[in-house]
Amino acid sequence: MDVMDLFSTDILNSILDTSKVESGKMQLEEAEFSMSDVLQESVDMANVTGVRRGVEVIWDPCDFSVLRCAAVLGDSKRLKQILDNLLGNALKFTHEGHVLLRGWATRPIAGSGVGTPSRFAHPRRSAGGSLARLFRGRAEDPDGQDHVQNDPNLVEFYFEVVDTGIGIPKEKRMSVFENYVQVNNGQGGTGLGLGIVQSFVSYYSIKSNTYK
Amino acid sequence: MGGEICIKDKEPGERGTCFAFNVLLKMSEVQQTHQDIEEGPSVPLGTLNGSNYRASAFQEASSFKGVHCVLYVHGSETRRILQTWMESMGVKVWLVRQAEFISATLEKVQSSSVATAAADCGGGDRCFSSKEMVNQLRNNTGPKRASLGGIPSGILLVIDVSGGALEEIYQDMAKLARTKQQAPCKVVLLEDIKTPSNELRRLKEQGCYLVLRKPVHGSRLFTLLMTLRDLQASDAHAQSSQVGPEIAGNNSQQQGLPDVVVPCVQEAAASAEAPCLVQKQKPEDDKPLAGMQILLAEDTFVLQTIQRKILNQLGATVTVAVDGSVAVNLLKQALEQANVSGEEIVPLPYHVIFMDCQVCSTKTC
Repeated sequence: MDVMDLFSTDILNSILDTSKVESGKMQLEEAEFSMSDVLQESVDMANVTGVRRGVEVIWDPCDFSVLRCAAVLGDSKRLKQILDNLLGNALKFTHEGHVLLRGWATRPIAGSGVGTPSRFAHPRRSAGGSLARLFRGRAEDPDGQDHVQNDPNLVEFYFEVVDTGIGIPKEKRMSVFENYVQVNNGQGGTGLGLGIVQSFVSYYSIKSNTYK
Repeated sequence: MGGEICIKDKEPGERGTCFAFNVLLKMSEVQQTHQDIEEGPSVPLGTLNGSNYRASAFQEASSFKGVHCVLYVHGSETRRILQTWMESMGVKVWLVRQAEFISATLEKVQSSSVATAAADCGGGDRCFSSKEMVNQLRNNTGPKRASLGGIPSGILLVIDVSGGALEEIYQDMAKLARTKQQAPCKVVLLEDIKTPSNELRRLKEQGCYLVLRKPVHGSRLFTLLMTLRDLQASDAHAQSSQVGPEIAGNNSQQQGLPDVVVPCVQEAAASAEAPCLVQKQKPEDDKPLAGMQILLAEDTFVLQTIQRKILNQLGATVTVAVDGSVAVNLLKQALEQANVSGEEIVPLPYHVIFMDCQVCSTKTC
């Protein structure tokens, strides 16, 4: 069994996480952590598989904004889970070339309203754009959004996990985030990974009052 | 975490997938205030402190103009990331594609002094570049060699040993160890989990500054950043020690007095040749005034004690005069002794006289 399989498709944990999210009982921890440490750890781990396969795995610091970031508050375990899952997925379908993690850190501009979704609203990205709009609708909690925009201590981290693998056909992109759906059959796994990832990313921690 | 995730289109013709997502997180306020307090580069304690310390190192603007980097790295993305990062800080990057060209490139870097400067500016319109070229060449002869891209003020050699060709690299490093470097040069080896440890040890013995495990990101970029700073610091050190003796030489030629000699003691001009003065030029670690004879005229006992103590600590020999007339008598005695001993100009007993302007019985001053 691949090391990758051990961390990305730990079946039991996936099912437990999924049911936790579905029942609305998931709690995000809020603890101090260093973003660059988490990224480094995740990419280093993925690199173990990458070295064996001859695939280059590296964290591209882009404009070095993440490296400049001091400690942040949040749930580092869940974030790591997201990253591990996406990197594991990317490696699973990439047999030559590279798997990159790109990261940026910005402060959302208060009041402009453009802050967060600007990068997602790229005109070329028809499928992604509509998907993003779908989620934005959920994220735009009327009383939550104001808090997000006005908090001067808030940092937006934007990540891209890029691979040179087989790719996902456009028509199937909508369904990859659904639970138990696997676009490429016969690769093992449960089909829960990306569903969990999506839940974690968009999970707006109203219960734990993260932004209040 | 209040974010969203989607699949982005890659550039037309590019293979693969791109997942994009964002999360919103709060900055840790505790750490921010903490950061403000410890401004200096203190030793980080916890792991989180360590990463905050690293973050603050990346926040500082660094410029390594004049530093050259010979980059031999496998993996196009790693190479691109390292090149972009170093060039963003002003480092001149020389990419090496094959191991056997490492030493050749290094030679090129070192001999590049005038040649590159000329080639750099001669690249454009040759008719108009000549004057600039002359200026550039003139500048090159000055001590500020780091100011131009041409002459390296330090060389960082990054060699990736994860891709084989170890024998060539070994030869290159052996060659490097043999040749005397003009500029400070540091070797960083990159390895990965597959690199055989005995080979790595053999390479390390050829003199390397640092071994980093791939992928080179995060804290390893920080380590590289510190290496670059080291390189810069060692160059600055080398330059200052070069300049040092020149200054000392100039001063002894001019037979100039150090600024501390009080001009009102006119006869003191004659004491310029006092051997102890020249000696004193070289800064002794804690005692910059070592060998100095000082006459201190001060009537207030407390001030007298303090001044004597401070001057003593700085290495001077202090004679205290409790009032003006005592000071004048002391100086007179000294001058008479000097005259008696012959016509030759004799060093005065005091290099400096500190005189309290309101010292009592100063009518003679």
